[in-house]
Amino acid sequence: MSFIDTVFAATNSLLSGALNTILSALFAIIIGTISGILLGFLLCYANRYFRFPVRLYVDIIRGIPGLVTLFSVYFFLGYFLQGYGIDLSPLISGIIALSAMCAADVAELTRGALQSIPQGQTEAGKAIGLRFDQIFFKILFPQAAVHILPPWVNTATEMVKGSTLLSLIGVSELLLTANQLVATNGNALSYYSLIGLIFFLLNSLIQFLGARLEKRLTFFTRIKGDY
Amino acid sequence: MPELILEIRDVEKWYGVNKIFEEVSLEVNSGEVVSIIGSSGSGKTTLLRCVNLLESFQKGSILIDGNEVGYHTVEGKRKRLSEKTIAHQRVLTGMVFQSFNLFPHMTALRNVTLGLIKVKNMNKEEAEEIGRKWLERVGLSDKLASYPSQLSGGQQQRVAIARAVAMNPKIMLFDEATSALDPELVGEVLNVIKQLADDGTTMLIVTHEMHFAFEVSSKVVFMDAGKISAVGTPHEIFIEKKSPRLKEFLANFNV
Repeated sequence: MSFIDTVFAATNSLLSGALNTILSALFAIIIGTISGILLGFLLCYANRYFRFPVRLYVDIIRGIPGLVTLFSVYFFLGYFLQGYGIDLSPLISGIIALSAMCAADVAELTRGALQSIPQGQTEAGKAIGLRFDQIFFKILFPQAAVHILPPWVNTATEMVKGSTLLSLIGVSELLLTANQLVATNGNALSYYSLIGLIFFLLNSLIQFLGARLEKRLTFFTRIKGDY
Repeated sequence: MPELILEIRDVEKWYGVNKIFEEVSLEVNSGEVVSIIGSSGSGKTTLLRCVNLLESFQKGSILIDGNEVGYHTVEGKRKRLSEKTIAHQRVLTGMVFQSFNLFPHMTALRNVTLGLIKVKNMNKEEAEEIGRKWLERVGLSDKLASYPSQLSGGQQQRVAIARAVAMNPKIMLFDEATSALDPELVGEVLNVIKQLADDGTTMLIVTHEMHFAFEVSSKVVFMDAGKISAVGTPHEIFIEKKSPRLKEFLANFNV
């Protein structure tokens, strides 16, 4: 059988591999982004008793390899939850680990972006009588989003790439599927090129959507006047 | 009979161990324009920021329209009010900052209407009508849809004035409103302030523009080394220059 024929023959396993890759990355990005923004907010505005554990979490997750985080979740958290009768599947473990990594990155991005906004913005909001929540949602966050977005696109693509780690705990995502095909059919270069192309296309899509969103969010930074 | 709008009673402010000012007392009646002059570090900007509660202060009290703001006394102890209550009280004052502080992601009109909608609970149409009216008053009726980055410094500061005055405060506070502007843009902003003064707006102005202070003020306060060193009519302050320290300070300006 030619390479093309084997690819067609393996369409189902490749599709389910792609599905697992997309699912784990997508959930990690969504969960990680929402919780990361929340953690970043705490890093900026919470009192030190809340700030300290968040700081510790962010620094630890960012300071250790993703694989270690993944194994910790799968083996330790999995073992721990088993005691309560909860079975942590490899895919769920993988999503938890990737989300944890994404959250730590986004927390740091959010903190940096919020802190880069001049104090005068908050004061101007206060001066017209706005409450803190109004200042945050109407004034600070829309401006912070502009700073968060470009590196966030980077984090999102890292999640897609990082999802390959899940092959090591037995999630049949794209890499593990390719490994299995190579083991059966050989022709390593072709199979790895194929999944490489799929990863490239996935991340191109993220970058395309990110660029469009960035254009919409940052319009006010680009218009220059003719006064 | 002039109505007492702002009353500062024996206020004292510390940053840690550094005393910024003490024994500051000042009264502003409705329709009055009071200017605060003095060298950098004399505490005049900090005093202004205390009035709209952006700064805390350790002693004394500030009353706006007869009501104490920022603090209350519980069982003999002086306590700062909750941020929510303070947010309500800030509506009594309108603040114009040295660095404009317009919201860069909103149009000029939206900058003005945000507070009207969110704080005064107006609907969009009412708010925009008031916003348009004030932007017209400051000469920017053709810039309603412009973003701050499309406006000159002078135009930005005029939007900031419209934003503050549209909230219909009891007193307007100007914190060196022209200090960040190119010299050629200072005039247009001072004209807007003067126009507001002529309309009877009560104002407390921190400024380095001595000619302006002389022309527009009903009362001038000279702050020096954390105290009010002299208070008087513009004539008493700028012409008679009663104290030696005031003479020395004013010698730096061509007045």
